[in-house]
Amino acid sequence: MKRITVYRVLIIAGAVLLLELLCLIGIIDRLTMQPPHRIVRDLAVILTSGSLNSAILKTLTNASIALALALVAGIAAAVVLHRYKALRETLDPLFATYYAVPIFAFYPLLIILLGLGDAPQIMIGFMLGVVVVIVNTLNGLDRVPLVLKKTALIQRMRPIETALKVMLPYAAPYVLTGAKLAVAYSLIGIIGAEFIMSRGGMGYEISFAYNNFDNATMYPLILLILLVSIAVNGALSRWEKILLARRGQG
Amino acid sequence: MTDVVKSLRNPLILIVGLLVAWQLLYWFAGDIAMRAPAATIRYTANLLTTDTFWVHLSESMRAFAAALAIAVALGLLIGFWLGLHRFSGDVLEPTLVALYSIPKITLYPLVLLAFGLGMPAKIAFGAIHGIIPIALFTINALRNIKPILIKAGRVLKLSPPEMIRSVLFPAAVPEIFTGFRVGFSLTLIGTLLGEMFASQRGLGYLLMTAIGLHNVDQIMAVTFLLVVFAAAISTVLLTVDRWLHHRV
Amino acid sequence: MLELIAGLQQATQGVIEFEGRAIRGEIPDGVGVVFQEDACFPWMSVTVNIAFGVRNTTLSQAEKARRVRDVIDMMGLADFADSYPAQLSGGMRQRVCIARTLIREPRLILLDEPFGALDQQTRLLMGDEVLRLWRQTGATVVLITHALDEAAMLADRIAVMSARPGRVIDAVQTHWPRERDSRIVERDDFGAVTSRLWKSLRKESLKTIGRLPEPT
Repeated sequence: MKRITVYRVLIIAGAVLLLELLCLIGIIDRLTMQPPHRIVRDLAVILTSGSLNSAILKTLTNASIALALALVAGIAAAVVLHRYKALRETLDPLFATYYAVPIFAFYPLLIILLGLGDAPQIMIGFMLGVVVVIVNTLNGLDRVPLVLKKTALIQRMRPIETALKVMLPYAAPYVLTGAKLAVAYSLIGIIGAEFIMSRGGMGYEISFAYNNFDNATMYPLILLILLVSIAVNGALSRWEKILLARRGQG
Repeated sequence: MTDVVKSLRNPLILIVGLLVAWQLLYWFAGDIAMRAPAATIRYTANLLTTDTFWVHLSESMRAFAAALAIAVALGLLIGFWLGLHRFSGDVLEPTLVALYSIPKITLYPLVLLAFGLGMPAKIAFGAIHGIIPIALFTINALRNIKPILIKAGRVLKLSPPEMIRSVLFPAAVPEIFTGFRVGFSLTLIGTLLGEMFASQRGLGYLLMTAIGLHNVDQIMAVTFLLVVFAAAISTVLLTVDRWLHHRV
Repeated sequence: MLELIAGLQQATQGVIEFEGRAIRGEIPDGVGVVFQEDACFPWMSVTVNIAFGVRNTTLSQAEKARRVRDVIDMMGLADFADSYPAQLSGGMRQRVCIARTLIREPRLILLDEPFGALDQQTRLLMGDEVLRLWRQTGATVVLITHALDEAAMLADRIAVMSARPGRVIDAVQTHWPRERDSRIVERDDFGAVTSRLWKSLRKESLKTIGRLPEPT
C-alpha cells in the first residue's frame, strides 16, 4: 500500500478510535451518541433482522429513480442548451443562483399537485439533482476541442449522432462529476422530504427514532446512509479516474 | 444594442419568463396550492411591515452571518493547509471529497443532540454545509497555480511570506472566491434547514409553521423573499467571480 | 543546466562559479532569469509587473520609479504601461518578463528558450532586441535554444550539447562584430556556422527519436 493510503487509513482509524474512547469514558454520553462499535453492531442487527428493510428499500429506490430522471433529463437538456446559445445565456443566471434557493419550500406545493404518494419526494430529488447535472455536462461539452467537432462534420455525422458518439463520450468525466453530486442531492431530496412530511422510508424512521430517543435505531440508519453515499461516490470517482487516465489526463 | 442593455436583457427575459410560468401554474393548480404572483407580492409587502417579521429576519441573519464566518474561517484554514502542504493534501483531500458526498441532512439529528435546540444548532448546521466546498476550492486553487509563477517568484528572491502574499494568494483568489460563492449558497440553505427543525424563531421556522398550518400565503411569501434574497446576492457574487476570472 | 546556474537546482558533481563565488542552491545576486513559459503575473498591469522586479531591493522610491520608466522605454512598452498581460500578445508578454529581469540590472542574464513559443519572424526580431540589450547593459548573456539560426546569430560562443546524458560535444566561436542584428543571416559565412552546428547535432537528434544515424 502506498504511504499516502497508509496514513489516510491510520488517520481515519484514529478518529474512530478517539470517538470510541470518548464514548466509553463518558465524555460523550449515551443519550447523545452510541460508541461506534455499538452502532456497527446495531446496524448488523437491523439488516439481518430485516425489520427496516422496507423503509431502506423505499428510500434507496426513490433516490435511484430521482437520480435516473435527473441524469437523463439533465444530460439531454445540456446537449440542447449547448446547441442553442441564446437559450443557454438566458437560463444561465437561473443555474448559477439555483442552489441558494430552498427547494424544500416547494414540497407542500408539490404534494398538492402530485398527491400524497412518492411522487412529490422524487420530484424534489429530481429538482435538486437536475441542475448540477446540466451545469457539469455543459462544462464538459464546452471543453470538446473544435477539431473533434470538425472531424465529425467531415465524417458527415448528423447532430444527434455527433452528440452521442463524439461529444458526450468526450465530456464523460465531467458528466460523472455531475452524477456524483446528483447522487448526494437526490438522497438529500428524498430523506429531507421524509423528515418534513413523513410517510415511511429511512428519513421517517430516523425522525421517529429521534423523537423517541431510540439511538439504537437512529445511529445505525444514519451510518447506513453515510456508507451508501460514500460507496456510490467512491465507485463513480474510480470510474472517473479510469476515464481520465485513459486520456493521459489523470 | 449597447453592452449594458444586452447584459440586462437576458436576466429580464428570465425573470419575466419565470413570472409567466408562475402565473400559468397558479391558474392550473388553484388557490389551494399556491398564490398568484401579484397576490404574493402584496402579501410580502404587508409582511415586511409587521414587527414580528423583522424579529425573525434578524434571527436568521445573525445565525447565517455566524455560520458563514465559521465556514469561511475554517474552510480557508483547512484549504491553505492541505493546498500548500503537499503530503497532507494528498492524504486528506480524498477524505474531504468523500465527506462532501454525504447528504448532510442525515447528520441533522447528530447536530441536534450535540448542540441542543436553538441558535448553536442552526449555526453548526449552516457551517458544516459551507466548510467543505470552501476548503476544496481553496485546495484546488492553490494546486493549480502555474508553477512558472512560483519559479518567477523564486528568481526574484521573494521570501516565503512575500511569496504567499504577492504570488500565491493573488493567483489563487479567483478560484477561492468561487469556493466562497458556492459556500455562501450552501451555508444559507444549511442555516435555513436548521431553522426549520431546530428553532422557534427565524425565517425557516416561519416557513415550517406555515407548512404545518397550510398557510399558503405565508409559504409563498417567505419562499418568495428567500428566493429574491438568494438570487440577488448570488448574482452579485457571480459578477465578481466572472470579473476575477476574466482578469486571469 | 540553466536551472543549475540560476541556483534553482543543485549540481550532483562539480562546481559552478559566478563572479568568483560558487553557486549553491541559492539564486546569486546579479543573476536574472527569463523563462520559456509566460511568467507575467496576470493580476498585475505591465508597470506593476515590472516594478515588482525591484520591490524587495534597498532602492529609494524615486530610484525605483526612474528605473521602471527607463526600462519600459527601453523595451518599447510605453504604450502598454497600463495594460494587463491577458491583453498582450506572446511577444509583448515576453518583453514584460525581460523588462522585469532587466530592472534589477543583472550582470548575468539567463534566457531559457525565451522565444520558443513565438513564431519564427517574431523570434528574429526579438533576437535583435536581445542583441541591443546586451550591448546596452554590458551584461553576460547565456541563452538556451533549439533553433540553429538563433544560436548562430546571437552568440559569440556556442556550446553544443548532446542528448541525454547532456555533454558538451562542440564549442563554436563565431567571429561576428559586436554591432550586429538579424540581417547577419544574409552573410555567406552564416551558413557555415549553422552547417557546423547541424553536423554535430544531427546525430544526437536522430538518437533522441530512436533512429541510429547512418555511418558517414
